[in-house]
Amino acid sequence: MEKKLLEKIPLPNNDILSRVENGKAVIFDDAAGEPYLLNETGTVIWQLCNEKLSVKEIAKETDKQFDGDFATIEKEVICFIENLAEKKIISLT
Amino acid sequence: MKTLVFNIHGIIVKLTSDNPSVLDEVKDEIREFETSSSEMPEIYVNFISDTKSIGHKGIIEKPEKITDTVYSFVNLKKLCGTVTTTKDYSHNEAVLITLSLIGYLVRFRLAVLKDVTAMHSASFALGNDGILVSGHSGAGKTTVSCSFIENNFDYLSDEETLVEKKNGNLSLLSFPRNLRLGKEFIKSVEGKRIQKNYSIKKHEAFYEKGWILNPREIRHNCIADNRTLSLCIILKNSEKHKELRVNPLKDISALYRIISLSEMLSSKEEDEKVYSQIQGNNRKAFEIANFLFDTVPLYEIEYNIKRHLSKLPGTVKKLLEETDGKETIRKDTSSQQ
Repeated sequence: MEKKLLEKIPLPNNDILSRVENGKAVIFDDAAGEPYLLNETGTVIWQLCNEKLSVKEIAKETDKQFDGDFATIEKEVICFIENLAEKKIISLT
Repeated sequence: MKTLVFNIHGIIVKLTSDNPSVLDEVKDEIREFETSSSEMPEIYVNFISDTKSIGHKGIIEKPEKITDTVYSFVNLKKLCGTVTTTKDYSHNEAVLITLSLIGYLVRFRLAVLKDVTAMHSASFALGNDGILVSGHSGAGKTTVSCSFIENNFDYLSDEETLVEKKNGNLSLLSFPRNLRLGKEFIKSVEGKRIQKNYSIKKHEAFYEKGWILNPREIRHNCIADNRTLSLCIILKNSEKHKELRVNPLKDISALYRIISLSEMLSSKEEDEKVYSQIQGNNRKAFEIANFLFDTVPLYEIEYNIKRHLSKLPGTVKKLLEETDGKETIRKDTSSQQ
């Protein structure tokens, strides 16, 4: 399951607005009327959800920006992206 | 059946009821908006105290249970709503729910027509300046309302404030309801002082006992008309706060807090037109929150309501003086989608 997810490309949904500032982001789902505040890690991952990179590639890019074990970072990226998908902030194609 | 008509910021609301006392109390709370206009209403609200509830066009729809004795249903497509009751209903709850329903429909309609959103906040005016006072439940918004009015701030709203973006400015639109004071507040030193000095009425709703205070009791001419928003305060009350602290809010987490205070709807509505309207309204709320964050001086006040209440009006006056005329250009907006 995880392997299949790694190949998928996250696409932000049309209903989503966001603002990034000083390493943090506010994401807003205008259909649900729900805001989210992302920390630095979440913001980096969010900005990499640019419709071009797969989850695997996003994990690699994220790893470049933070210290830590790649396997751990990859797991965190997967978990975060699954979370975004569950909240319908992104779709996985 | 008795009828009242209100003009609330350009929206004509017709309120009909079989219960004159509920009607009279609603009228008393939003008397500034009563009108004899013959314009066609956009919004219809009914309060029916028997269980044979009839909606706007004689259609009974599934009511939502608000309390054990009071029900309501809303139709956003038709812009109508009804509050109905079982026997032995709570009069106070009926008044409160009817007022809430009027506010709900008005702000929905205003947001469709204009760049307007509603924020969970109180608001005041000092001269030409409008001040938004936000904070979560327990922050002391209603308590500070009494103090502000006594210190010559005029009163715009208590529980909810309409914020309009127009001509490059944000305005606070008045909706001055009576102040609802909690049981705990009345037990406090400040509460006892209020009880001694003003005429307050017992009130019980949603399993909570409290008191109602008409702000005009504090100062007869305290009700303000709309004002340009000059200052936004977020209150943070805690007994742990030994000193009153004023913190400028510049981090984007403050934007998140402002958006969280905005009243949003979730567009689960099946009707396409209403779905689209809700989404549009929510989008406007996000844009207004961003504009507020970018252009209005924004501060958090950490305080202990028992120790620092009397200092708040002076603190806010000082903030207004310090920020008057200064352009607030928010931090680098590195990207906004």
